[in-house]
Amino acid sequence: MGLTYRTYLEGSRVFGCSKCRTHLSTTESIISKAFQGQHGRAYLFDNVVNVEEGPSEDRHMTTGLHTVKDISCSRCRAVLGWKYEKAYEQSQRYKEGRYILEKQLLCEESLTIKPLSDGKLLTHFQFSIQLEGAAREGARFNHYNLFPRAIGQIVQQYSARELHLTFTQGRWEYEKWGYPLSFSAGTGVELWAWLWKNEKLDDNWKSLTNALAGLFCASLNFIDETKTVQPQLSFRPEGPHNDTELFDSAELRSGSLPHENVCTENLTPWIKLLPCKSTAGIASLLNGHELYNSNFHSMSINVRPICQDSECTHQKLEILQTLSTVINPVRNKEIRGIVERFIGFSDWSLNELYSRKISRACPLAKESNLLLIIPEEGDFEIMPEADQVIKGETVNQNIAIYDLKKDPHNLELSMKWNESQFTYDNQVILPRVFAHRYFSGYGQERGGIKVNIFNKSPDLTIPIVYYDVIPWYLKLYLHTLKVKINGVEVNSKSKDYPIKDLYYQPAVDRSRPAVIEALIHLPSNSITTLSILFDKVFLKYTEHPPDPNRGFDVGPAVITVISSNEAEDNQKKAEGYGLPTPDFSMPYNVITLTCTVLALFFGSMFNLLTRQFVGLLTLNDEKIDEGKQDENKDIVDRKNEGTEKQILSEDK
Amino acid sequence: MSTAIETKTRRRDLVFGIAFITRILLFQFSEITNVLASRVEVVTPVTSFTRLTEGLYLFQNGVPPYDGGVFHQAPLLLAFFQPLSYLPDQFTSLTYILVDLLLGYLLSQISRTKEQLYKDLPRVDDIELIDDNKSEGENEEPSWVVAGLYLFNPLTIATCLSKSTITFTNLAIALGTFYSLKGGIMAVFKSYPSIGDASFYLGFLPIYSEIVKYMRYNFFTTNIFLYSSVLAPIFYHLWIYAGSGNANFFYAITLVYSVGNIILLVDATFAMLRREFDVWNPKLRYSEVMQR
Repeated sequence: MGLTYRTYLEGSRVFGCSKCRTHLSTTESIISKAFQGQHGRAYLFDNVVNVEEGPSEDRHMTTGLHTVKDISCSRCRAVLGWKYEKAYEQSQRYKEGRYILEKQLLCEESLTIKPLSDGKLLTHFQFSIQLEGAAREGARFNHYNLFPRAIGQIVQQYSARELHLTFTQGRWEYEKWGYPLSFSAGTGVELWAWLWKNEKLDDNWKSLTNALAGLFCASLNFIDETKTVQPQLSFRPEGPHNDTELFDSAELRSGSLPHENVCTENLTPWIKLLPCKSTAGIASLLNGHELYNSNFHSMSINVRPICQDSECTHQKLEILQTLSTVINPVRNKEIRGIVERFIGFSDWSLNELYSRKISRACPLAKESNLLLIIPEEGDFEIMPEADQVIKGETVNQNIAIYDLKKDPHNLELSMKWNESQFTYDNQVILPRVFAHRYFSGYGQERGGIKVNIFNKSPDLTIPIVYYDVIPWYLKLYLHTLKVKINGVEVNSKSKDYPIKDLYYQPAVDRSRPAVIEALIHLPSNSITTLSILFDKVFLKYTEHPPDPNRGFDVGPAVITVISSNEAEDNQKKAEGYGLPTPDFSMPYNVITLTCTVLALFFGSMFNLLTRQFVGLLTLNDEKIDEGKQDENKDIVDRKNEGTEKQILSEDK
Repeated sequence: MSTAIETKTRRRDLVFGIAFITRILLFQFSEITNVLASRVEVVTPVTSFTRLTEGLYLFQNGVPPYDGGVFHQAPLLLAFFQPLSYLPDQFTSLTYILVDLLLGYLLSQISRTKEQLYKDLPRVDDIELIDDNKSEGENEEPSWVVAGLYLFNPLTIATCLSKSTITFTNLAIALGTFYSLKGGIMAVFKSYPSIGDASFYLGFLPIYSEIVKYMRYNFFTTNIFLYSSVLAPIFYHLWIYAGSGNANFFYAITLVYSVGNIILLVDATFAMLRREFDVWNPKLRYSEVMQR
């Protein structure tokens, strides 16, 4: 490679390469700003410098057939647009020899792979598409560019400021895997959104859940008022905001469906939102068979405003789609050993993981990277060599970066461990804050919830927000809330009481769940235990799901760590529990038997109250009564009928 | 004659004293009171003391107690228990004991007032006036028996120990009855029946002791009550905890319990009508009587 000459331009405004800032052209060279590129707005320039031209090819464009050459930056080789060689229609001849530069491609994709301490492998796909001028209240979307129209229309129609939707299956194991790469969510579906305040806000929320239900083939429309909550302390917007402006203009709604299963019918519409679908780029790895053959997977859509410049005077709207899976290569590669029953290896390659290959980078993406977080210890070999190695979060951590734009063809990344069999590492570095939630008690009448929150920091008191939504069919008793630190109960009047702020919304039968939000200061190196008791409710027989004996699912609790730099960690766990089930043939029994008992009561009572008592006299007894004969109004002589008795009645 | 009245007063004091001590002693066993306070037969969602405590706790912490599906009881109870919540738990137990004793006292007073009112009404001579020679004081049905039968009814004791607020409802009814002297089917067809209802109207039965003599199914009814009070907890356990029986078991036993109540009620009605017949037809005392 020889020296590359670079020309530096002067002018009122210089256009540069979006990636490496190399000068390309000036405003004076613009012929037209009204061009539509492949991925959005494009400008036609008279002259452009520092570009390399690709081979000629014929393209059918909206204005007819043209022969064009792609142009790329001479420094970083990013594709910038194209040069018109020949136009076949007379009216388009003016373009010949001129250049199209597309406005910045606002799309990025990355795949992060992280070997975990227990031999499993975290793969985290992330796609980001940005749209300018759409992050305001009531903003009209004039051009969607790469931004998925289906989502854009929903955000616009139902006045959403932020929107977060997550489909998760499985449980993220904090003690083994550390913190996830994006905010995790509990099993099932979770939706939360900040909606612009207006008189239709609750209608908008209802419509939003219905629209998303249709879009993702999920039961999101079941998030009705019995499942909708308005958290007070948790779920702050991810985008830039200040609190007073936020609470004046927007409200939070949140809901989850812990019972919802996630499968390919949810994945397909999710993939459809990507600019290249699954035909190119890292999305071509998304193979449903392998994704759902995993210990954990979580798929999300986050629509949020982000800063366009460092002062944040302008904001743009970003849609961030992430998909995390934890795959177990040790299990997948198990073979029958001689001494022990099975031997596993933690070796893996991309092809083995997904049974697919990355053919080429998504041409619409500005950046397309594959990142491998290299384990700090161990004897292993990574193939092929990385394009670049950068420092990670900790001192010893290195991240290998593979630029798919640069080397698009058949990247077959693999990692081989020099070991005869995988051995589990018991020396796990625990995350700073983690928690366990349990249901206590037995039987189907009452129970309790117990949460152990661990703070492993040796010297820091960590403030957290504990958030828990309990369905109405578990009746909580707030007066039974007890707090223990390291097993010793703390009185609520003591100054060591860790709950600094408590927000409680009692449940209302069949209309809203109970919500507990507590600001808790976790003392350093401690276990804080919260416990609360509840009664289980007898549901109507029609309120049971089709599989009542499986029980009901309670959504996960969320722990938000408020750290000094405002970074937050969410931890969630979902639990299942059983409610008393009726015998579903019972309504018939109940109706017939209860009616019988009622009839018994009515019949006997009616009989008593309407009939009179009469005395039965034998004829021999008649003389006793002779003196009083005149008082008796009704004497019936039954001699003729052969009886020897007279019936004597008395009026009261 | 004065000694007879003294004996009566002493007996009454004895009944109330023993009832008080029994309850105080039983309240010391927190296992018993905890179990009773959570039994479905004893407390219902509208009378549960746990729910009253929750309502009080929410009220004291600025959460509207009725804004939620937990607390359904009268605001008066909230106001009444508000000051009690600042005192030790023993005062709450004491309140329940005193209210229960007051109920017993009211029943005995109702019984006495009823005797006064019925004094001039005709009676069935040879059954009810058999002790004509005895003094007037002894001739009346001793009112302490009524109070004793209420206070030592196991159902009453269980209800009191469970701190069910039905005690207060019953107190209101007793006060109402006492001041108007008019009588209560509610207990049989209530949507959330509990033994507190039964124990209260069973307390009224001895007041009409003359009716009891005319009842036909006393043995049968007693057995139904015993049978259902043994089997109901067992069937509930089978359904809710053991999982070896289904809801039909418990439903069936509640049905038996209500059949028992119905038979008691119908039998009492029969006894009342039959006695009236005898009162108005003394001549037919020894002849066969039937309904027509």
